Amino acid sequence: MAETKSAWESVGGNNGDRIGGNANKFSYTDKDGKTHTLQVDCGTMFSDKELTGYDNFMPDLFEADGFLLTHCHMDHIGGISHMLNLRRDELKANREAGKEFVIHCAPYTQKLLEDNLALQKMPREEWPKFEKVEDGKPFEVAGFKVEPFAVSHSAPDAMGFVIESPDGVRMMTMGDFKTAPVPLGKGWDNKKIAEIAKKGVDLMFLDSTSATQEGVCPPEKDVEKGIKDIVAQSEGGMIVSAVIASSAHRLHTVAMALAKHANETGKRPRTIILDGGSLKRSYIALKRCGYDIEKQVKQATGQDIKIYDARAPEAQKVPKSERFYVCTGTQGEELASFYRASQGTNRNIPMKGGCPVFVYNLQSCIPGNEEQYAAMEQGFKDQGCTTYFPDRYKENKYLTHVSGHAKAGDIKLACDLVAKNSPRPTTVVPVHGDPAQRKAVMKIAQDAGLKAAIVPNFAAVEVSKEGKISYVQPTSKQEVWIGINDKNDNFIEPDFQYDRVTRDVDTGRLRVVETIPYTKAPVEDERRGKGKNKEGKWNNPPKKNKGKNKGGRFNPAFVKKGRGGR
Amino acid sequence: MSLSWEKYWEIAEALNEAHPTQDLIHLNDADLLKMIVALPDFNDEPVPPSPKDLEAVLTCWTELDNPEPQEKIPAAAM
Ligand SMILES: [Zn+2]
Repeated sequence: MAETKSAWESVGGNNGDRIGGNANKFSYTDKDGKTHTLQVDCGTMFSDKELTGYDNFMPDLFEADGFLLTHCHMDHIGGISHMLNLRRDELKANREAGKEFVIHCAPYTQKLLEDNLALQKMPREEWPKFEKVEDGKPFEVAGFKVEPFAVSHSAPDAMGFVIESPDGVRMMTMGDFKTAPVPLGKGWDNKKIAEIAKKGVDLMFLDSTSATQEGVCPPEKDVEKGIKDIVAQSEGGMIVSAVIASSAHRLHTVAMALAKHANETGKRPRTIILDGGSLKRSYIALKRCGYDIEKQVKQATGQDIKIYDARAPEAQKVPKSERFYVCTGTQGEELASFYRASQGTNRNIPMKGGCPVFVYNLQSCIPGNEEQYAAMEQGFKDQGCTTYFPDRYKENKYLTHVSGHAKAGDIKLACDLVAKNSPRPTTVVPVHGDPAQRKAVMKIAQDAGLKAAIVPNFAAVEVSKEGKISYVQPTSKQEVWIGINDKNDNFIEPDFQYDRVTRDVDTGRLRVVETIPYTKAPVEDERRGKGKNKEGKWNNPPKKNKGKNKGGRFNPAFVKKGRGGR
Repeated sequence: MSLSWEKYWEIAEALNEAHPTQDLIHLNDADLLKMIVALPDFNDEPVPPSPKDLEAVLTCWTELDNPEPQEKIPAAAM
């Protein structure tokens, strides 16, 4: 009879140079030597295709008996659609044998993942089955007891989990988190974290992204003032702004700011007009998950804020001086709404017509995007607009963005709560950060009286039944990843090639091990069994639209080369 | 082309052509279903196998109206 053990391994996300491709493997080896595995998250990591030949990387596949997702960001869920591609035959056989692929996650995470699958044209019968995860409602999966708890992050419905193995070993993963309140849904709750800690925590995994920054990550609410100031500054003009679509709390913040400005000035509130597919999908997902921004704002301020789709006639009826456009494309992405507005080619946003236009990028420039960021601002200026594009390196006039990641003060709070309440020794493992950020978490944890260890990708932390911790170092300096290459360079009709690659942890050098064969999704007619006749000819040839939409609503330039796959 | 529920992308294309100024963010499932069933090429059951099929159509419609590559925002900014 073998000794039982509980273990955790980062199979992506604890990279030496960048954050992304997050995936965690929790396992339990029983007395018969059988290992039960739970996967938490399966994200993608961006890549510079010109340098690496790949659009993205994702963690390598492994057998998991259960699957959990912490939240909807692509560095946590972006690999799922590719995993479904790569495991198509196996999952089909499982389905036919009555075994579904099940993912446990909160509703907003589910909806954004479903959107991603729909955009990838994943056949509906291949979508996973979802089990709804709710704050404070424990469940069992793959032999583990899972206790979900809400955390605060820039996306709604972000979850942390305590994963308890059959030995009673309790491993607590916060996911991406901060401790300030969030406007939509539940967020971080000190009391709840303390209650969970009281039951004992052996391992705690902490988001390290902003751990080198002093203080506490500000609440989303702090952005309201910046937006209100913007509105006050733009009296009599049309406002065009851009946000990160995946920071969905921001829509609520904009609505609150408009309502409060209206209350303070006695004027009619501006109307929010959304432009850009991903932003509209965020709004639709919020509504489907029961987050009614208009209702919440009405209850809080008494104001009726309208939110329109930019393509709808209602939006064009709003006086220009009362419009507050919110667009996608903060970084000057060529096809996104904001960039097209900067070129005067976005038909949903009329830039001409006598009304002054005030343009605010609510997001500062991400390093590497300087050129297109500046070009976009210049485009607006050339059209006579007044612009405000914040510079991340300078003191900015308006606070228009806060991050969703814990700073040093948040990390200290999490460590103090667990140190004070856990009846057993807790070891902190920093994750989701570069080495300096993870080191900062380690120091904070140690200062709080906890043990801490820096654990790289593919190293494992093992916990015995008695709570003894041991570390298994990686056997190789070659990390294994899957490189994702869209051979069509066309995010509407991608043709994915998946290479298993090794990446040297010291030099970052990539080596292709193999191109992974996979069965492509059947075209729709084949799925209904009505595709080809006895002679093998198509009864009804599948449409090959080459990415062009005969509706003609958009610029077919989107098929141009050099665009990354989704 | 004959449209059936599996072809959610093609249904979205046909809808985009037929209703170019439809407000997509307030479109409810009942109205969306009516629009789909009324498409001249639609040739399937009047009720989708799952409500998720309707959602998939709407998701694709939002993209067709305004295709854009995925945001490449580093985790630290989110
Ligand atoms: Zn995140």
